Amino acid sequence: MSLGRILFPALLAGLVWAAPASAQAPTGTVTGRVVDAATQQPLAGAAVAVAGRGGTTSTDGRYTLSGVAAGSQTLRVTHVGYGEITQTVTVAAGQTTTVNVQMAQQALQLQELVAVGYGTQKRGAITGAVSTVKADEADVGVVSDANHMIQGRVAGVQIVTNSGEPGAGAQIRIRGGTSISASNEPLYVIDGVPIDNTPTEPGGMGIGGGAPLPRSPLALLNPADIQSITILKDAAATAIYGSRGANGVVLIQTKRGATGGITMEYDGYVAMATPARRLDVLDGAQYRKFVQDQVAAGNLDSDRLASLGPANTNWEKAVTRTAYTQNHNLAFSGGTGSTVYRASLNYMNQQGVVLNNGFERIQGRLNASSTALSDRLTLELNLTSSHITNDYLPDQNTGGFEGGVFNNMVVFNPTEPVKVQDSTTGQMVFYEVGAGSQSLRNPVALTEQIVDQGNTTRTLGNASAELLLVPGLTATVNVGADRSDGGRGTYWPRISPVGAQYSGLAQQNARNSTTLTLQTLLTGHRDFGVQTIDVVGGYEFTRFSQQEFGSQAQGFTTDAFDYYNLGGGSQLVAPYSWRNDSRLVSFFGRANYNYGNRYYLTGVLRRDGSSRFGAGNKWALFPAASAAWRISEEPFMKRLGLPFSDLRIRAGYGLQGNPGVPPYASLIILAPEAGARYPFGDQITVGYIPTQDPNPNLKWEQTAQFDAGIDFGLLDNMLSGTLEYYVKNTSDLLLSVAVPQPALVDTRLENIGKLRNAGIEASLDALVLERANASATLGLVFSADRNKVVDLGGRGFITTGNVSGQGQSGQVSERIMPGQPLGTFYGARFSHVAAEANVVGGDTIWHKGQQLFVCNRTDASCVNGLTGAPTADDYAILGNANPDFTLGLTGQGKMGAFDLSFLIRSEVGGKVFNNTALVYSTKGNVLQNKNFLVAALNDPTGLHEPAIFSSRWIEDRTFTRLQNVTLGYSFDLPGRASASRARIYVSGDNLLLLTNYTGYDPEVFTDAGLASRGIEYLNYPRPRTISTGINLTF
Amino acid sequence: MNIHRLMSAVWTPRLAALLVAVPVVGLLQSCTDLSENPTSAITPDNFYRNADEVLGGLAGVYAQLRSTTDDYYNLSEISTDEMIVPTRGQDWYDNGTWLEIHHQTWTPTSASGLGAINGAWVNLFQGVARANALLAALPHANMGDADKKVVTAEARTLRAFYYYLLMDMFGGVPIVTDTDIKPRPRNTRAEVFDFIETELKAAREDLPETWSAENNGRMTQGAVDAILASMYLNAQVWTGTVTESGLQPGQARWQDAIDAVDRILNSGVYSLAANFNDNFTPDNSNSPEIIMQVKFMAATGLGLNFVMRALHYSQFDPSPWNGFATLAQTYYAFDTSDKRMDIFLEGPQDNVLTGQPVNDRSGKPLFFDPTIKDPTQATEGEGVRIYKWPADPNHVAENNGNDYAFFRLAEMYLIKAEALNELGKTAEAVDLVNKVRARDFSPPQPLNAADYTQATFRDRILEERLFELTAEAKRRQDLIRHGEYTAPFGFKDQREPYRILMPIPQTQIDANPMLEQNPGYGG
Repeated sequence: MSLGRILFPALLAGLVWAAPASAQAPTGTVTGRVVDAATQQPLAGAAVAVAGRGGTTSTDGRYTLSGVAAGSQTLRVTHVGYGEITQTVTVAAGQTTTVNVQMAQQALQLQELVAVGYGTQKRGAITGAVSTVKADEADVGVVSDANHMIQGRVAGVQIVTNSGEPGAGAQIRIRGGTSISASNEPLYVIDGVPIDNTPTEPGGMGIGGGAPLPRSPLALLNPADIQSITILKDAAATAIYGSRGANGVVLIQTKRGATGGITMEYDGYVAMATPARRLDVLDGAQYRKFVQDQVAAGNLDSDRLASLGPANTNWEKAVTRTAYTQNHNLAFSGGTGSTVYRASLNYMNQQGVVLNNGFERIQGRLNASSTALSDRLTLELNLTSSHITNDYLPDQNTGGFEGGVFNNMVVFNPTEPVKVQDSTTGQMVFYEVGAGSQSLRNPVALTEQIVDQGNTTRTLGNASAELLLVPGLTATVNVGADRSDGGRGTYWPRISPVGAQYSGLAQQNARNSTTLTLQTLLTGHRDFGVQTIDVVGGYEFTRFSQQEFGSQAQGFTTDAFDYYNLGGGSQLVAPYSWRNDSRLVSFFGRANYNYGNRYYLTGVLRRDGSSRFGAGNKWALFPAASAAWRISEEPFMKRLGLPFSDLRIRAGYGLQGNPGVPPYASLIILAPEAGARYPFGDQITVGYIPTQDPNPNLKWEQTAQFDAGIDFGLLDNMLSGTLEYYVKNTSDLLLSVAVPQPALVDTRLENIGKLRNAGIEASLDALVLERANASATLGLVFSADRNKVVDLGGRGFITTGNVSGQGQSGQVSERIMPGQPLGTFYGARFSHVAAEANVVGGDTIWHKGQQLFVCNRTDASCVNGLTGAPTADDYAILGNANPDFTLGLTGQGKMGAFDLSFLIRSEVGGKVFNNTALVYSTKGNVLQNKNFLVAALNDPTGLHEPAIFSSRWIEDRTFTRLQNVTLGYSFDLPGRASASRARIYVSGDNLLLLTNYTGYDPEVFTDAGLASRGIEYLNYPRPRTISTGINLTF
Repeated sequence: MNIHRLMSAVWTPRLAALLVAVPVVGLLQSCTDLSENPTSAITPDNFYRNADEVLGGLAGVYAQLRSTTDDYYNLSEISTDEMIVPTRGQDWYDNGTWLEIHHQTWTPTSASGLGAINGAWVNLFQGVARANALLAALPHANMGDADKKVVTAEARTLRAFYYYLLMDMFGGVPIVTDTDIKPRPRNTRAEVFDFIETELKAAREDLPETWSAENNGRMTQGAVDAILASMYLNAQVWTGTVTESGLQPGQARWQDAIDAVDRILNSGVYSLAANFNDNFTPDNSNSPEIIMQVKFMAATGLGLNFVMRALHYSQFDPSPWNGFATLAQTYYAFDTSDKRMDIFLEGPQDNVLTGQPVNDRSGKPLFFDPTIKDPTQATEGEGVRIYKWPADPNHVAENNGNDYAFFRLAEMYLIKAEALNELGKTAEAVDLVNKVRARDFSPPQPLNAADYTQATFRDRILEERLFELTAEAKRRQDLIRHGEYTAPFGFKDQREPYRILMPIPQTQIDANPMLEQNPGYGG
C-alpha cells in the first residue's frame, strides 16, 4: 500500500526535524496554578511551556514541568479565549520554582485571526461576509468529513447529505447556489491550497437504475485534524479566488503543534447505529391477509392464495441491521522555540445500517514548521495521506424499477423466506423467484452477492517558504500537490439473478488525478500612525490532470474471482480510457486600509485564465470592493454610553466566477463512440463521430454579488451577532441546451440565462451563564434565501426532475421556469379518488378507484373540471423544494467536570416529492406478486390504477432534527504526574426528527437531472447513532 | 542530529531567494499558454485523412440508422392500428405518452412532443449532421478518387434517407449541407422532396449495384431506387400542402414509381425469398429480397431489441418489457390461412428460447388474449404480440442479430401494383400482388382480377400492405396516403386532419426560433 510508503518516511522525517536540542545541562522544576483573573477559578487545559518543556493544566488548574534548563527562561501560557501570558522565570538547578498565573478573558472574536484567503486578518478588520466554525465544538458524534461540521452551524450554508450511507456525499449550497448546470460546490482550500473536489473514484454500474452516487471526496481529511473552518460567502471575501469563488469558499486550517514539550492525544469512540425511521412495507402476514381480503371481495382469483409462499418476512427488517463504527485518532505535537510539529494517525471503520456496506479510512497527517535566519524565514510542511475503502450497496438512487436492493426491499414477496434448502445439495441458499436472470431479486441476496467496491489513495501535500524581505514585506512561495488514485471494482456473480444473464460480469475501472499548484505571494504591512495598509499580491498556477481506464468481462465459468481476474471471462467488452488536462493561471491582489480602527476599506482584483474556455474567452477579471465602519470606536458612541462593546456596519460588491466546465468543452471533438460502431457485413467497423459541438464563445458563469451586514456585540460581547443581506445575480449561466438542428450532438454547453438569489442571514451568540464553576453559551443561525430563474435565453421552460420507477419513463416532476425558483414542481393537480365509476353514454370516463385530477379543458375526458387522464394542459405549479428559512441552534454548557452540547436544525417551508410513495403505494403490485407500502392499504385507489405523478405525492418538507447531543466528563488520570487528563463522553446523532413527511427523511438527495431539488426515491435510510468515546491527553 | 544547526548551515538568504525564484521563473514561462490539446480525443483537423479513417467516419453515419428503429419507428407504428402500448397496471403509464401517441393527441409540449417526437427529430438530423461532417472533410482525404466517389455517394444517399424520414414525419425542414450550427428557416416539403430526389439521382451514378458479403449493408443503386420508389408512391402527400383542414395533394408520380421499381426488378440482383420468414430471421442478411436494411449484430449496443418491447417478462432472457401489442381488429383482419399471420403470438405462451411453457407474474400460465378491454387498465396477458423478428439464439443480452429491412422486394411489387392500379392497369396490378402472395398460402389463394375495380383494389392493396408489412414502419405512410390516418380505429376517435404532420417539438423551436410550427399546433 502506497500509504505506508509515503507516510512512514514522512513521519520519520517529522520526528527528526522536531527533535529538540538536548544537552546534559542542569535542570529544575517549574510548577504552579493558572486561574481566571476575574473569577479566580482554576483554568483547566491551559498550555504552559518553558524552555522546550511543556504541558497542560489539570482540572484544578495546576501544572508541573520538570527537566527545565536552569537559568532565566520565558514561561508562556496560552488558553483559548484568554490573552497570552509570557513571563520571565528564574529556574534554579535541582529546585522547584512556583509560578502562579492569572489569565484575563479577551474580546476573542475581534482579535482572533481569521483565514481570508492568501492570508489572515483580524476578525474586527474583515469587511466581507465571513463565518467561522470552531472545529472542537463541531467534531461531535460520528463525523466522517468536514461538511458535517458546517451543517447547521453557519448561516447561509445549506448542506443536504445525499443519504444515510456511510461516507455519503452531500449537496452544499452557500447562499442558495448560483448555477443550474455547473457545479454548486464551494471551493475547498486546505491550508492555503485549493483542492480539486471532483470524485476520485470512477462511477459504478447501476443494476437496473442509476449507479450509487459517488461518496464525499472530502473524506480524505480526518475531522479531528481540523483546527478551524472559515466560510467566505460574499464577493468581497471570495473575489480573491476569482473564477472559482462564485459558490463560496471553504477554508480549512488544520491543527498545528505548539511550542512546549510533546503532547500526546488519543481519541477514540465506538458507535452503534440503527435506521432512524421505517418505510413500512407489508410483512408476510399482512400481505397474506390482503390477498385473502381481495379474493373474498372478488377482486382476485381464488387461486392466488395458492401462489403465496409459506414465510413471514419483513424485507425492510431483513436488509437493515444495527451497525457499528469505530474511530481511533492518535496525535502527538510539540515544538521547540523555532520548530513546531504535529503528527496524527486515524483509523475509522463505519458500517452501514443496511447489510454489507461501509466506509473505512486509514489516514496519516504531518505538519511541521520551522523558522530560521533570526526568524526571518519560515518553512512549513503539510502532508496528508489517506486510504479509503468504500464498500457500496447495490442500491439504485434513480431510474428504472428493476434490480436494486431498496426496490426489491419494497416489492419482494413477503410470504417468501430469505433462504430455502436447495433440493439437490441440501444446503441453505437464497430464495429467488426463478432460476437464472430475474427482474425480481431477493434483496438480502443482492447485498451479499453483488460486489461493488471503491478505494482511493490520496496524498495531499504542500510546502511553503515565507521570507521577511524587509520589515513589513514578506515573500511567500507555496507549492502544493494533490494526487489521488481511485479504483472501482464490480462483480455481478453468475449465482445472482443480476449476473445470470451475463454468466457473471466483472468490471474494473481506475482513475487517477493530479493537481499541482504553485503560489507566490508578496505581503506587505505598513503603519502610518492611525492608518495601516495591508497588501497582498500574488500569482498562482494550477495544473489539473485526470485519466481513467476501464475494462469489463462477461461469461465466467466460476464466481471465484470476483472482479480480480477479468481474463476469466469468455467475452471481453471493449475497454475505454481517457485523459483530461487543464490549466488555470491567476494574478491577484488585495489591499486593506484601516483608519483608526474605525474605517476599513478593502479592494480585490483577480485576473484568471483557464484553458477550459473558448478561444476568445480564456481570460477574465474579477474585482471587488468593500468597506466597514466600526461605529463603536467612534468617540460619540463612547459618549453615548450605549451597551455596545462592538458595532460595525459593512457593505461590499464584487464579481465572482464559476468555471464548472469540463476540459475541451469549447472544441469539436471526434471520438470512437460505442454508438458509432457499425457492422458492415458482420464485422464491426469502429466509427469516429463528433461527440461534441464546438462553442468558441464558451466562458465562465459570472455572479455579481452585493452584501451588507451589521456586526454587533453587547454587554462586553455577552451577546454578539451578525445580520446580513445579500443579492447575487448570476449571468452567462452555463446551460446544456438544444442547438438548432442539424447538429452533431443535440445539445451544447452555452452561456445562456440569468439567475438571482437574495437572502437574509443572521447569527447570534450569547453567553447565557457564567458562574464560577459553570458556563453556558447558545448560538443561533438563521438564513432565508430566495432563488429565482430570471431568464433561460428566451426559453419558456426546461423540464427536469426525472421521476424514477416502474411506468415512469419520460415523466418529469419539475420545470425550470423564468420567474420561479429552481426546484419548482410542475404537474397534474390531484383531486380525489373516484368513489364510483363515471359512465357517459356507454363510455366509461373513469372507473371506481381511479385517481381524478383537476382539468379545465373542453374535450370529453374532462367532466366537471375532473379527469382521469390529465394532459399537459392540466398541469400547474405544485410548489417548490426550497425552504422558507432554516435555523440552527447550538448550545454548549459546562458544570464542574461535566460538559454538554447540542445541535438542533430546522428547515421550515418547502416541498419534497415522495417518489418512493408514488411508485410503491400501488396495491396493484399484488397482481404481479409484488409487495407495496403499508400506507396504501387504507387508501381507496383501485387495483388497476397506475402510479401517476401529481400533487398527491408532493409533501411538506418542514422538519426539525435533533442533530447531536453530547455529554462529557473530564478528569485527571490517577497515578500520573500532572497534565494527564481524560474525557469520556457519550454522543447521539439524529436522535429525533419532527416532520410530517411520510418517507424515510425529507432531507435527502436523489440525482434526478439538471438542478433538480427535493426529490426522494428509495434513499438509503438515515441512521440514529449513539457513540461513546474517550479523549486522553498526556 | 540537530535540526537548527543543520538549517542554519544550509539556509542562507541567497538559497532562500533561489528557492523562491526557480519555480516562479519556471512556471511563469508557461503561464499564459492556455491552448488545449486533447490527448484521448481528436479534432476534425487531424482526422479523415486516409481511407481507413474515412471508413471510420462513414461507419458513424451508418450507425445512426439504428436510431430509426426507436422513436421514428415507434411513432410510425403506435400512432396506427398496428400497435398499441396499453397501460398495464403499474407498467407503461410513462406520463401517458404511449396512449397519447396511439390516440394522436400529441402537442409540441406534451409527453410525446418533448419525448419521442423530439427524439425522432434529433436522431434523424444527427444523421444529416454526421453525413455533412464527413462530406465536408472528404475533399481533403488522401485516398483513391474512385473510392472517394463511392464514399461520397454513400454519405449523400444516407443524408437523403434521413431527410426522407424527416419529410415523412414533419413535412418541410431546413435543408442543410454545411456544418454550421445556426438557426435556419424551414424549407417547404416540396423543396425537401426535390432535394432528396436530386441527391439520390446524383449519388446513384457512383454507387455499386452490389457489395461483397463483407460489405453487406452498404448503400447500392437498388437502395436509391427503393427510396425513390417510395417517394414517388407518396408524392401527392409529400409535394402537397398541409393546412389546418388537411392535405391539398401535389402532383402524382405513378409512372416514376413504376420506373424506379422496374430498375430494381431489371437489375437482376434481387429475388423474393422462398419463405416470408427468411426476411426476418437472425440470418436474414442472406435473404435475396432485402434491398436496404439497418444492420444489427448480436453484440452489446449493436443488436435489435424488438423482442424486448413485445414479449412478456418470462419469455426471453433478459426479462422483456411486456409492452407493445396489436389491436384485436388488426389481428382478426388477417386470413387465418395466411402464413404471414404467424408473426403474431396468441394464446398459451412459451419461453421463445427454451420452448418451455411460462407463467405470468401471478403464477398462472401465460395467455395472450387478443382483446384489450381497457387500454388504461390492461392486464399482463392482454393483446397479441408481434414476433416477426424471432429471437437470436446467439443474442447478447437484449441484442439480437436480425437485420431490419427498410425496403425489400415484396414492397417494390406492391408499390408498382399500387401505381399501376392508379394508372388504371388493375389487372397487371393484381398479377404483381399475386406474385407476393404465392409463398404465403398452401394451397395458393391468388386474387382474381375480375373481382376488383380500381377503387376496390386500391383498398385491397392497402390491406395487402398491412399483411405483408405489419410492424415494418409503413402503416403511418400508408394510412396518410389513403386518407385514413386520422379516422377512428380501435380505442381512437376521429382526429383533426392536420395531425398527418407531427408538431415541431417545442425544444426545437426554442433552440431555433426561425422554425415555424406546423399548422394546427398553435403558434
